[in-house]
Amino acid sequence: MKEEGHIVKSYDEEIKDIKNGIIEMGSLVEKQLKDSLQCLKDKDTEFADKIIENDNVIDKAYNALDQSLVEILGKRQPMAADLRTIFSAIKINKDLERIGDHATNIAKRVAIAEIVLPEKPSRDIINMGEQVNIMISEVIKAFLEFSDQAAKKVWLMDRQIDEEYLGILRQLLTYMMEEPKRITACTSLLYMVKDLERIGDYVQNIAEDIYYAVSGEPLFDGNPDPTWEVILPKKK
Amino acid sequence: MVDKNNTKILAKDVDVFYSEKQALNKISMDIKEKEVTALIGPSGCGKSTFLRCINRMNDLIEICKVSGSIKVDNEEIISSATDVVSLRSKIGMVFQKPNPFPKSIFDNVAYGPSIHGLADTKSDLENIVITSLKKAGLYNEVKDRLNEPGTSLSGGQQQRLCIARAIAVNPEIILMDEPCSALDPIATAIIEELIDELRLNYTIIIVTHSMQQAARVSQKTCFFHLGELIETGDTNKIFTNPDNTKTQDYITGRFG
Repeated sequence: MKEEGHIVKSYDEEIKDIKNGIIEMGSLVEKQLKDSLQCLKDKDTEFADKIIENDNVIDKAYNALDQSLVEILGKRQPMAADLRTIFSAIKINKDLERIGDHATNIAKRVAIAEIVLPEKPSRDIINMGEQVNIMISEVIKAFLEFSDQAAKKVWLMDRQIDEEYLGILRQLLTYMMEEPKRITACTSLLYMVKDLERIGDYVQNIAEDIYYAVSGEPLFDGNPDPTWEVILPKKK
Repeated sequence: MVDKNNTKILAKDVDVFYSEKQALNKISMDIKEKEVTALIGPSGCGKSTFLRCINRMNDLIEICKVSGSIKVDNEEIISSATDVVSLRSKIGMVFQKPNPFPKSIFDNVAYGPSIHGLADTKSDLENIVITSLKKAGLYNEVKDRLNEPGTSLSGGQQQRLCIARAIAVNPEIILMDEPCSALDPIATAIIEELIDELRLNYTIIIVTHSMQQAARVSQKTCFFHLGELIETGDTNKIFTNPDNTKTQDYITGRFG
């Protein structure tokens, strides 16, 4: 992100602050997801409560950054690359806040789980979550480097996440069909895997925003989302 | 985007010299009819000089030499054969500082049509004055005091009076040289709204120092720098994603 070079030096500073705000939001939600996965692994309901509490911190950081963004828009009326950057930062901030919510949802499921969660799908979900977390850290890196190519790379990583989502989905359906008393536990896991899949989609949004901010062009790959290829019956 | 409008003004390789100093270097530009074209760029970049080529205002400056070609409705105007008086009746101009004549509001607008013989009777002239004041969005504010001096109006009203005066001679093109830079934000907004209405009937070229204003009022934007036309294109494209680094640096406030 190019912040330097404005005739008005304080404008440079303000854009730098925006950049730092996004990075802070990124690390907060990355940590939130990491903690949620840890508490799922340990079935630690006390830790889960702390994580739920911590969502406030993310919301506060979101509000502060949102306020800075609206101020810079009003004050500087940015143009060209600056305009695209600020416009994208507004969307990225919002998407990071939503990622935080989805990460918190996982902790919420753990907190209320008085049931024994089946081992194998839990482990798979944790694995998937770790990959999703890599996507978050990579997309923040792409933002920091202000690289459209790095953003595109992250965007493509979501393919893998979607496939894993479908794999776990099938696995959970089989568990439930085989043993209806597992339905409650499996439903909890189903929600978690959906949360992770949604986080992947938000990371894709962020990658698209970075791509646009850098290049001025929309990132469009042209291929349909593989999720739908599997879920929807093929058209005859 | 396909241009649906016809070319109104076609400039090709326009050079302008003030004595030895070159002010414009090989400017070529295609200006469509019934569109607003904004000329932007730092002070001294040549945008006003180019504007003044279009109505041959540079003729008034002795040391100024213009070469190249500018065609208005396919007719060459950079030529000694050009009838400058009829050219200027086709092209109205509005300046940075409102400059009403030291006459009444009515006479300010009536002056042009009278000397060009556009009105046969007194009521014809009245009609032209009233219509022009209405088109300039000023009529309702001045209808009860048409005999008061034009200079008694506020700055924004004076500027609209100048626009009424410009359109009273039935021009096809209106040149505006920073028409809002001496006005407050409200008066500016009223002029911008007026420009939006005028473009249905006129081809407008506006020089402005405000990129935001160019973004608001124009469909095409041309960026000048050091006498050269650096980039020209759809306004929406120029202010979100310009092709040229100099354009980018200028409009984001990185040099000026």
